[in-house]
Amino acid sequence: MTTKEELALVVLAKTGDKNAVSVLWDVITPKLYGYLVNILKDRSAADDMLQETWLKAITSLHKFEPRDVKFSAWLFAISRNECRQYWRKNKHEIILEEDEPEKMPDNLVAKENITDKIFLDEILEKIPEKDREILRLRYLADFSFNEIAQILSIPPITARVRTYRALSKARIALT
Amino acid sequence: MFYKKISAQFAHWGKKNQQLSNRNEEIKINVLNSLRATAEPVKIQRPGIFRWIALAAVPALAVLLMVNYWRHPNVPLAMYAENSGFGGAMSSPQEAPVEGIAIDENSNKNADMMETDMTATGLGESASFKERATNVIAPAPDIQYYPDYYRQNSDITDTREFLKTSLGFEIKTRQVETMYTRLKTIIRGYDGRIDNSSAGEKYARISFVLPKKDYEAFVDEIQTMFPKKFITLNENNANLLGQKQNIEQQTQQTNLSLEELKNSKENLTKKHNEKISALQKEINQLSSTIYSLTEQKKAVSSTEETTIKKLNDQINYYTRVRTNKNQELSTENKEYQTKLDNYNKQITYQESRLTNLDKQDQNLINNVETVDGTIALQWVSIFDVINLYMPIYKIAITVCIIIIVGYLLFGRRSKEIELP
Repeated sequence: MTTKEELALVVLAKTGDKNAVSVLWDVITPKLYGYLVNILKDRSAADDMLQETWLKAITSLHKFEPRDVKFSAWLFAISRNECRQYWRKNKHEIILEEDEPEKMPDNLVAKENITDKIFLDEILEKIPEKDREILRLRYLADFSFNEIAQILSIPPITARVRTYRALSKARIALT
Repeated sequence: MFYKKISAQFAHWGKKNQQLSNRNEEIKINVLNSLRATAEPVKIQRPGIFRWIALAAVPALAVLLMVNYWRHPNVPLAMYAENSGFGGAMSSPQEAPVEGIAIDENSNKNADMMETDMTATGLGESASFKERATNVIAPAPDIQYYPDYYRQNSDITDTREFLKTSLGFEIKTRQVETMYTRLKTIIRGYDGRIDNSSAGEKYARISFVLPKKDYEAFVDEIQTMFPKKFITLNENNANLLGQKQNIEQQTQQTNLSLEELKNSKENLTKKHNEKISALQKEINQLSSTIYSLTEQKKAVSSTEETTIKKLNDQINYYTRVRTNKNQELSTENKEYQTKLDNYNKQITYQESRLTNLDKQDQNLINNVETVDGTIALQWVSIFDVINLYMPIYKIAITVCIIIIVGYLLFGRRSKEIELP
């Protein structure tokens, strides 16, 4: 979805158009949920976090100014904040339960061998959380460097450099 | 290569991790139900307007800088090169004309200004006195030589100042011809002399000299006639100590030469007189001897042939000697006269040189006591007047710089996300 399309949907959503919100949901939620699962390692926690994030976004939609900030980036920023509060309350991470997802939407890649996925997950565990976060936002949530910079409140050039450094560390972890 | 490969792997991993919850529909319905309509229509704000303004400011700034430079090249007028009393030697090093101003190319440059006489020294000082005494062709006293104005090795212990002042005004005005006439009157009122003037509709120029004693009063008066921003004064002072020292040195040398010549002439005359006296004495003695022998011959009888012959021989001998002495006397007189004439010519020449040097010295004093000046009047438009008080180009350039700097500092940063 292009920025313009997203902006148009947000404008409609602000007027109370549920269809617009539904479209936004369908586009953003797979990335957001995947991101939350990867962070929290707990699906039920991720479900709660997903609902919390969207509810907060919807109730504060009238305050959202879509000038230079994408709605999806704003949503992810909210979810990061919610995750921080969650960890503060719980004080530890919960290990991922190894089960396959029951539903895969049609527009995603069909079920494949998850060996690669687990392999890279293991590699990610070996690099610092800061670098993991960058890689999640870049490759899982599919954000540009500018959008990552907005979410993490850093300059775009820093986002780019950190991404490359994270990839270097991942490569070292590979060997 | 490595980044591409691992990047592709992670991209693939990312796609794989995108998923939906088991309770996706349930959560979705909850979220949709919480949606409430806002009453007001939402305006879409165009992002990045500041970015476009900043981008436009860059070429605008470049154009303004070019136009500002083209309109106001920072080049001073030639102030006093044409009418300095130095024969052009003390001209300003920056003589490029101001754009749009017509310079009067037919101005009467140095000829009339040379009431300050630039007379010269004579022969080379390195020549010995003998050379000068024997080989001189005395020049006519009124031939003028150019003195050594460029003597730059003045001794630091000599702290005298013979300051030659030159000044130049650049005046912007909307009444060129009126101011031109008024300024000429003012110059004459201060006992000044106008050497060159030219005037047109948009440009006028006056070259003048003033007594030094009235210089400050004159400058004050001119400066009170125009607002500060419309008038520029350039002043130049040059110490003519080198010239003065040169004149003094030549005067000293000339005096020395003159004294030597006079002494030599005196010696010549003295020796000549002595020689003449000695010769005359001898001639007289010879004449006396010849007379005595002649008388003896008269007293001798004509029969004493031997005695007579002897006396005749003696008379003849002494006569010859006397004749030689007379010739010697004549030659001495001629030689003396020639040498005397020579010395007289040299003395005359040195005296005329002294006179010239004295005149040079006086000219130098006169030169120092006068101020050379130029006034250039240039017409200004209303726009130029406004620009003088409120430089529009500078304001516009400043605004462009502020926009560009503001964009670089604040505009490029990603907007921070405000969390609810």
